[in-house]
Amino acid sequence: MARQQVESLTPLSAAILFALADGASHGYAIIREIEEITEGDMRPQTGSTYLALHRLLANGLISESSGPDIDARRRYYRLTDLGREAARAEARRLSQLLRVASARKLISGTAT
Amino acid sequence: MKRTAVRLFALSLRLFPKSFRLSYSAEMERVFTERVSALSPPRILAATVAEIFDVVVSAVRAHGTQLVLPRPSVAGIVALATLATFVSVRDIAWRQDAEFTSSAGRIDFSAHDPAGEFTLTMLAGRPIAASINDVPIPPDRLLHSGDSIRFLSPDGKVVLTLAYYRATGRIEWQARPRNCHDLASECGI
Repeated sequence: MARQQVESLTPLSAAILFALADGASHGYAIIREIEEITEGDMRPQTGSTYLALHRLLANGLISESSGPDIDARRRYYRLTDLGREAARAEARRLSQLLRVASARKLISGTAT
Repeated sequence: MKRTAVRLFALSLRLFPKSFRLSYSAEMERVFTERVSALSPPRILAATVAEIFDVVVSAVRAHGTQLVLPRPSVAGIVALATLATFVSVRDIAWRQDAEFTSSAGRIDFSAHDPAGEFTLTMLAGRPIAASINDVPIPPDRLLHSGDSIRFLSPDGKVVLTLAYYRATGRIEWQARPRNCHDLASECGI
């Protein structure tokens, strides 16, 4: 089931799953985390981020969670077991692609 | 400048389907406010244009329509602002029955929709009392999550959903259909 869902993950959805791998977080922190882990390559906008969060929620890959914030207006999101499995599967898929790209000298400085 | 940007962004969020808006728009508005708070005026303008364009594209996707949009242009932004203003004015028109009083952190709100009257009392940002057609809803049947407040029937069904935008003090709700008269009706949203 997770494999089927991973195939339809957009880059932003995958990045959200990776950003949540260390624990629950809220929308703004997720956006900041994605900017940081991609070193600025991805700069998610607010509307598309929340649409992606909405779809991940609907697919059961993330769930709403209580967070440490005392402000009840913030919603926190966390990975579900299915979401963690989907994130792992997506990471394996990307890793495999990266190995191919590296072997074919498509990544500068990493050819073997 | 920042306030205008936030206002324009908030208006653009009306392009999303209402159910999506009720769940997320206050949060998106808040995230946008946080994002622009540290920016200089020229960068606020650029960020606002980019964010509103992204809202348009996302709203089209949320409505389930496949549409390739052109890159943002001045004409597009003006059209969007006009549309957003129109939607805003239209919403105000059907809310003439709403009454809203606020003092010392307490808000008493009442309004009509096609199914009848409902009231909500908030204290310090939290719902403490409500009623539908003069039937009180106990606090344990008021579900408060994020900016969303849901009125539940005795069997746990959602009968009315409101969104409370604390920053602007605005309250929005999903109008119930005319035949949804009481808590036992099939009027979950």
